[in-house]
Amino acid sequence: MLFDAHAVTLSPSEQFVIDLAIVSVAIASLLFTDSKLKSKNPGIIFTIIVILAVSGRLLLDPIPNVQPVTFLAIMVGIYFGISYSIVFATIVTLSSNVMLEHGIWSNYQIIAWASIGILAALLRGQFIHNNKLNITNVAIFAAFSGFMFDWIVSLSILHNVDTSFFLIYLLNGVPFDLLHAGGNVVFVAWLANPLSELMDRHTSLTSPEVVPELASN
Amino acid sequence: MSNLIMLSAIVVIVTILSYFAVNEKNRLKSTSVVFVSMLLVTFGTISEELGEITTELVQDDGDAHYGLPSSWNVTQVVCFHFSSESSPEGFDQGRHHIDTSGSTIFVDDNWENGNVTGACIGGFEGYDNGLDLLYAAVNVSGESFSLNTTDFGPDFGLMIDSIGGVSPCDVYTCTDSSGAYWELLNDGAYSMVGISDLVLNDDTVITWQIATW
Repeated sequence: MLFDAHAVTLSPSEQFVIDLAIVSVAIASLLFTDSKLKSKNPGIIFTIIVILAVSGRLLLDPIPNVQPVTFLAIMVGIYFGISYSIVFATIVTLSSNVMLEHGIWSNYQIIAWASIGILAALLRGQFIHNNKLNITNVAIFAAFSGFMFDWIVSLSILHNVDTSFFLIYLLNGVPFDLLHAGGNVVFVAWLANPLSELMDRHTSLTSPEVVPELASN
Repeated sequence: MSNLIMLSAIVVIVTILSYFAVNEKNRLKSTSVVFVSMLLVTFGTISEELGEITTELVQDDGDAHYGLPSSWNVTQVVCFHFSSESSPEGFDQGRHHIDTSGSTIFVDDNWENGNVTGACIGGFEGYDNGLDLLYAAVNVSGESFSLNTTDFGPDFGLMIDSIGGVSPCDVYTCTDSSGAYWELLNDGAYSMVGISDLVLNDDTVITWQIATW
């Protein structure tokens, strides 16, 4: 006798709890995977972070505007730099929008996340002090990034709507902006430290370089 | 407006209390979680209240979009009208304006002096056929305006038996000589064709309301 698991339906709350559990397992797996890597592997870590961003965005879709991509874009910017930020933004947006729907807004999402990563890379000195992440500064930037991302993506409506509606549209989006900003700060508060230690081990950002020195007479 | 201020104050106060309730090491963690949680709980109400403050409605009663948000002017809209005594659950007061993501952006409690309730789902684009637009609107609303239909074939088309569980003969007494039906209006005027054959414009407003014969 066969049972069709697809016949089981979950309420939105039940689905959300399961999605949150899956995201938590994915994050924990990432942190434990690090101990298995014998040497620096920035490429592998970057790939894992991209996968985490895509899956986190999809699984947390039920919560309006709360997703880990912006936070991860900031971390990629700080630890991997400008070019990786652009690659990250492009891959994550295009991959996750296969499920969430592509449109003219996809271009704006790429621009927004890439801009956030680039800004984080340029402001790296404000976020790293004594080889450690300054959580307060990152949290402030993450909150600001929530609003920045939403306002950049909101520009996409100007393709269909008169500019006179833009301010009203932004005003109506304030609750979404606050959720995005708050969600980013949650991710920073809980994940920034463990993730920064992991990324620090596998990138060259803060590691001292050994240089040859001639012995003096 | 007062509800918005009160809710915002509650969110801020609880967040501040959570900040001081824990030790310094865990303040950011707990405060951020409490803030996001409070915002999620109050999100629907805050969005609605903000929508009521910021939404501009079309004032020209000769315009097919009369009473609808101005931002829907060049988009397609589907409206469902009920009497306040017979309406789907949650729609017994005011006319709700729902965008294509399913969010209620505004509730007009003064629509038709409160005698007519229901919802308008708008912001759609690119639909050429009335039935496709209708199904899209029903999908956005979830189960609220689910349809029961009878298909009379290619010659006579589809008849709407109930919307949101409301049948016309539940509202009016139907006999052999009189009855009620779901009437289709196209841009405010009685439609000369059924929903399956209705050709849409970029800013068509489809309205369903119960009429008697």
